[in-house]
Amino acid sequence: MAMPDSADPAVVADPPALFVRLLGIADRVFGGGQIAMPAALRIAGGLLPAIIMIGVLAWGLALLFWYSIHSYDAFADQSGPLSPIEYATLLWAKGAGFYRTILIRTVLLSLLTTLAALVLAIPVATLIIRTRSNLLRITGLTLCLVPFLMGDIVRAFGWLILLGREGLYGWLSQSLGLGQRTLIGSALGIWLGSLQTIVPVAALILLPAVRRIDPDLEQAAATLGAARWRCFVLVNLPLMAPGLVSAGIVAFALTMTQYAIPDILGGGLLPFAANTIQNVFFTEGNIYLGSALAVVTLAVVLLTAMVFALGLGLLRRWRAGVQRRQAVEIAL
Amino acid sequence: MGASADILAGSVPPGAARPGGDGRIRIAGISQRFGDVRAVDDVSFDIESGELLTLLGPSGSGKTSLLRMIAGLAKPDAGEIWVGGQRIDQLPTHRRNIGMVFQSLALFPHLSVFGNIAFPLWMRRCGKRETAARVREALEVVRLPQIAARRVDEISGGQRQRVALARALVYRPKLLLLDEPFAALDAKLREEMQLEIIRLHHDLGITIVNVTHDQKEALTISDRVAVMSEGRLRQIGTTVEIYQRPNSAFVAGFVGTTNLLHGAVAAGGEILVLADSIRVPLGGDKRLAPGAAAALVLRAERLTLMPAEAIIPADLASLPGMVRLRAFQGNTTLFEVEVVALGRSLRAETTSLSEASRFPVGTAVSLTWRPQDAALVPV
Ligand SMILES: Nc1ncnc2c1ncn2[C@@H]1O[C@H](COP(=O)(O)OP(=O)(O)O)[C@@H](O)[C@H]1O
Ligand SMILES: [Mg+2]
Repeated sequence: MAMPDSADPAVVADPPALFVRLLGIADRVFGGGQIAMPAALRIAGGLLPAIIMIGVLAWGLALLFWYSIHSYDAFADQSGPLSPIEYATLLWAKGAGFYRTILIRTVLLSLLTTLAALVLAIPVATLIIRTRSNLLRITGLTLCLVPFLMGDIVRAFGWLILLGREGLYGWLSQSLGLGQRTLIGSALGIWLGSLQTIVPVAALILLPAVRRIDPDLEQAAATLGAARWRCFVLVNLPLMAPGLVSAGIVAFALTMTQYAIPDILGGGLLPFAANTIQNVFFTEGNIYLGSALAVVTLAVVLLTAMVFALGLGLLRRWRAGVQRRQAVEIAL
Repeated sequence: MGASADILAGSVPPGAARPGGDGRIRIAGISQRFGDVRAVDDVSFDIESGELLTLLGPSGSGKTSLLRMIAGLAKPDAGEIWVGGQRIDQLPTHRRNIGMVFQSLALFPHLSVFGNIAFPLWMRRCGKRETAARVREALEVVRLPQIAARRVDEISGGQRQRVALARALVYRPKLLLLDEPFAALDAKLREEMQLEIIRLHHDLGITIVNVTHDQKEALTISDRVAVMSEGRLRQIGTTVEIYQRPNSAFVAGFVGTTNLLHGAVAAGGEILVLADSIRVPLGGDKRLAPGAAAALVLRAERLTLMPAEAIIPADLASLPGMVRLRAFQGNTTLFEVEVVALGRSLRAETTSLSEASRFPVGTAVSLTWRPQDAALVPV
């Protein structure tokens, strides 16, 4: 029996479909079409690439965690016994202050960046969705994508030129008679540099949430007596909340794990967790401590994401509860 | 209707003159353009306090634009808007204290029914107790108690309409604007909501400006109708005036099932000459000078079919024709009668079943009418 299926280029180009087809062919060849392929198997076939990806990722994470709970035998440059010592070094042992400072700096600057990014993303997303001018919409979307097309290093060096002593900022401060200043090596510099990518990311994630808000709602709120800002707080903000939480989680995770921006704009003075991980791994060669630092960073990201999501859930529940109680009151 | 309605209306019996700020409206020379489009073109009219006026016109005639300017959602390029003796066209929307029901209803999806209706009270900083009491009254006024705790996506279409109405009424505005809120409903529910509006209007005595492109709705619920087309006000008058004395072929054609017969006035305004020198007598409306081009407005229900061989009474006008279509519609039967002499068909309607059964398709008939039942409009 001819099997033209297997030569179908579309199928070959699509591995999960190919997998399912192969199962089907095997079924015809060996089972004479008698074996009904279980639905679970078909689904598993479709999900195979995702499963492989997640598997690899999980394997890497497990390995990282495994390293992190071992001590490092620096003399033999090999793994010591199971031990919480790496975490102690990072968090609570005497002298952990060095790492704690780095972690706190990373978290604080990431929170500040996330906050500012969300505040700025709302008008950007609203403009892109609501503008009547297609040109403005396309320009806005393009500007949101441009920062990702140029790569970390180019972008960071661009900022270096803007914020450096010889750059725009230095020139401005000098012409204002403040001396030739620089933002390189300052938290403000890192914050500005981070916002350039985080704001567009947050805005892009926010787009669908903003698009779902019917403009009639704002006009209705106005006729009902709501000034612009109250309408924003009471109508727009709650309706965007899920989008804001998603955008916030992504923005926070991306900032927490930044490498190039703090490295270059921090002038090496204000390392983030990622810079320190790199340093511990490759300069000190201590994969155990490096792994522990990576695990801590990851844990902070995950915990924060959970707090964001839980916070939204609790807020909604509380609001629904208040309304229900009031409604029950008037039913009496 | 109940004490609750009186509370909402501020304990004023319907129809009585309101103390202080009333719901009189004056639209004076309002215009709005979008680029080359004159969405609203120099429209002026007055509305009495407690009146229900419908803006009627085809889609794109500027009804929504006018309503949005009254609500403050758009700025007029020219003209003034007065409500209750106060000029409001410079006020921001949220300070106008006007109720509006949107075509999309615009209920807040994140708030319960209670929250939606309480929203305007929150904006006015009402106390908790007063808010609860007023929301309950408003729900009773729209006859929807017991659903305050529901989410707005858990209730039926008709209930959503009523919640939107309750929300627009709960703060006792002097003026309620309705922008085709029933257009999307199925016929039965739409009729029900129209009756609801009549009832509410009667109970609350509030001024209402309703927008629709449905002439039947306009005639059903309004005190007066303002007919618009292409941004201009074509005619404003009571429903009876609009129906019986249209001032133009446009208004005549838009309201009711109408046959327009074009011709020229002759013989001192006694006769209209139709094509091929067919003449029909006129009802004594001598507004138009002899020689003027005019159209005779023949309402379908004013036309009576008679057998072709019958002798036609001298006081009736008539045209010979042939039944081409007969459609039973429940309360009426619709005929399409071809008048060969005019090269076109006319529509006639009768409520009498026995009459309808006498004229099957293909019957030769005379179409007759009383001349005074047919208005004459300039063209
Ligand atoms: N925001 C707008 N921008 C451009 N043209 C508009 C706008 N709003 C309405 N128009 C135009 O104005 C005219 C009147 O529209 P509208 O008031 O919505 O009519 P209606 O409600 O009677 O259907 C239409 O020709 C419409 O295309
Ligand atoms: Mg409209």
